[in-house]
Amino acid sequence: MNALPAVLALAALTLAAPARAEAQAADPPGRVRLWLHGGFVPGASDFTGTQTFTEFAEQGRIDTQYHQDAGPVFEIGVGFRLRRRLGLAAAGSFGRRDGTGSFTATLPHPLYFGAFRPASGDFRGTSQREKALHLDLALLGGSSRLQWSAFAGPSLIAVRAELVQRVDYTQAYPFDTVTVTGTPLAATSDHAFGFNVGAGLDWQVARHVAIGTQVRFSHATVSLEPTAEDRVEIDAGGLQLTGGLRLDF
Amino acid sequence: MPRRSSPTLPALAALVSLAGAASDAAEPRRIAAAATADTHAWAARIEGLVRDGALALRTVRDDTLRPDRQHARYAQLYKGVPVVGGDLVAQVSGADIVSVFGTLYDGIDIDPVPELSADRALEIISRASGQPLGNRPDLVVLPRPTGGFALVYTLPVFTGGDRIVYSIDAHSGAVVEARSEIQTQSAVGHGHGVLGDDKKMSVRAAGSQFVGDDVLRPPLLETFDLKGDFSRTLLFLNGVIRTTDSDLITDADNDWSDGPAVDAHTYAGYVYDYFFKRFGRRGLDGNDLRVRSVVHPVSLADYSRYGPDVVGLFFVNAFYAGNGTMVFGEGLPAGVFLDGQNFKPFSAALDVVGHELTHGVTQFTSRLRGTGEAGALNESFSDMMGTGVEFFFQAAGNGPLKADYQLAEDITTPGAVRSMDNPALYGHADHYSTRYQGPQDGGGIHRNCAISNQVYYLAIEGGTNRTSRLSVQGVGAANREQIEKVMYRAFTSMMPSDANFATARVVTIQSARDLYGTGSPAERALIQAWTAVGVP
Repeated sequence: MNALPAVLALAALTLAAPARAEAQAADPPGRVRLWLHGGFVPGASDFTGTQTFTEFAEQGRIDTQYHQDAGPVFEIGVGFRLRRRLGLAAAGSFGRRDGTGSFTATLPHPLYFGAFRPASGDFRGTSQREKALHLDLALLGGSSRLQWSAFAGPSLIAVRAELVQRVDYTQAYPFDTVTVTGTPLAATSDHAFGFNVGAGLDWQVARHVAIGTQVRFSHATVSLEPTAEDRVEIDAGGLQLTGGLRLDF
Repeated sequence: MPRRSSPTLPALAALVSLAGAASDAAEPRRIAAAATADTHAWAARIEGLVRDGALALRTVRDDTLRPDRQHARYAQLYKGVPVVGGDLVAQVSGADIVSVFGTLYDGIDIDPVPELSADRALEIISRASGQPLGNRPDLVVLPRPTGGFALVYTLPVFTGGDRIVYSIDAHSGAVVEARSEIQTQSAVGHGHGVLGDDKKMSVRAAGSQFVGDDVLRPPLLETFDLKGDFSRTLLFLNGVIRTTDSDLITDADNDWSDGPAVDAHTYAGYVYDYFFKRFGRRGLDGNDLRVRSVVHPVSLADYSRYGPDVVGLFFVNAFYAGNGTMVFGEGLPAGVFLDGQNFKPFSAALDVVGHELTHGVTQFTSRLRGTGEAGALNESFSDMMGTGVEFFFQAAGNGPLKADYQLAEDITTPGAVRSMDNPALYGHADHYSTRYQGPQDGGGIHRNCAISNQVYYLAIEGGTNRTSRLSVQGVGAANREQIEKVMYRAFTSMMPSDANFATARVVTIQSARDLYGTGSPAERALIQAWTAVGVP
């Protein structure tokens, strides 16, 4: 979400810039564009989860903090030039982030009510995968060598995240403390609708081939359910910076 | 527990035996040796007595509160036969003996070979008690109150309203003694149902139901429901029948609603937890002895069918029946009063459960006798631990489920059974000069226990004894653990079985000195408290 102002500024700049270049504009060949980009999702993503569970006839609680690092993203898209400066595009992106996390838990005592045992720790090896489908209306411009685009539209983002399912521990009489032995992760997935906005800049290197860069910001709030009773809300999407090849037909 | 050789041997080997110095007097000799010269002399004497077969090392236990100490307990023997009440407890530090407390009987001169068989003795006891019996009697030397000794077979028998220890002359077959020795939380009063508090039940899943068998704590803690079948209760207590899994309390959905059963089961666990967490003790025998709690020994609906003896034992009482078995009385029907008090089921009071299970600890440690001053100390130690467990698990205050210095207040209406801070409230002695000296109640054990109860209270909270007007500077409620540990250590590791109040004074002060040092607040508090109650 922090990248949104920058994206909007970049998009505005991209839209304003072609005024001068318009004079020498020459349409790139073909009405259909295909592109394949690779890049990364910069910056980390943090989110929290709270789980409650019943054990020993009493409710316990696990508070989890997830930290997802920057990760790679790939995008494939297709665009149609509807008019000289207006296009329609559909793109699919696939991203992955790996991360770490920490938790604090209050675990019910097996023998007494209200005598919770505290537990805390870190975990590694979580991953979050996102698949997104973006439908955009695009403004197009530029010269025969350099073309820009600005786009925005709805997105459908599917998230598959590995979340802490429970805290495993060992205990021995008198059970006043526990030794944490692990935090099993379980993959949980769901999807949600959101939006995206972005801009691109392409350099025509041959009649049907261009290379370009793209910045896209997308967002959707996806609600995951690691257990039947609990929900974890993830801000999916985010800023992605990509570059790659474009083919025009 | 690993076997150990006698810890006294290194020290004893270099000393000259004084075994031949035994007195000819028939009266017991009370030994209280804490000075270095005395303990050295007693080390030599013990060595000689062991060599002569007059003493046998019964147990050696580590001091869970002072890792550098051990306590060796010796039983007195007469030509291989145990002498009731004769034992010594030596506190050992490495190769040195720190203290020796005990009672020895001299001048025993009887034929140690019985003419009567054990089976014949059992027949005589069965006929005398009117009970079918399955347990075997023990052969012992019994000191007689009128002087002299008798070789007897002894066996405790549960009758309709009592636990009577029968002693049968092993030569003539005569009934030498039939002494009530029930260790109970005596109570007379009024109660009003279930307290309604929520507890966790540690139980065992068995097929489609749950049974009262605590599988989380180290020992086997079982709770049995005898469903008000009094005849069966007696047969069980006398060893004629055994309880089985079908007698365990059960519940179909693990949401238990039988209040007396819930309280008995959970509080037995709490008491185990208290002894473990506070003192490092593993159960009654220090080795996770199985504990069996029995609820509903009689039916409340049948109350009017029974005489005062049965009512007094199985309705308005709880008792430790030996070998880890606890029996909890049903209380009284609503509107029925005994001496102006009504009682709820006895398992509903945490201090009562603590009190009774502590009798089990005593059985496996000091074996304090059940009568006279030793009996009063026995009851008092149970009161102390019962109160200690209350303060361990409950917040201090007045009213139900609060920790205080009243005994059985949660099940008694109005009032309580005993008061440690003001014993006179229930007509009990708070000073040695006012002790009961009559024959009832085993020599007033449930009355005179209030004297050492008062010591416990004053040593913790401080205050003034109402009789002597002497003030005591207690260690303070925040430091109650000190006095609890001093008392626990004194009563389980150092106290002889026939101790009197004077012995208890020196033993507990020695225990405080060992744990917290000479001149420590704990030692000072105990010295002042014993003086305040008239035991100088």
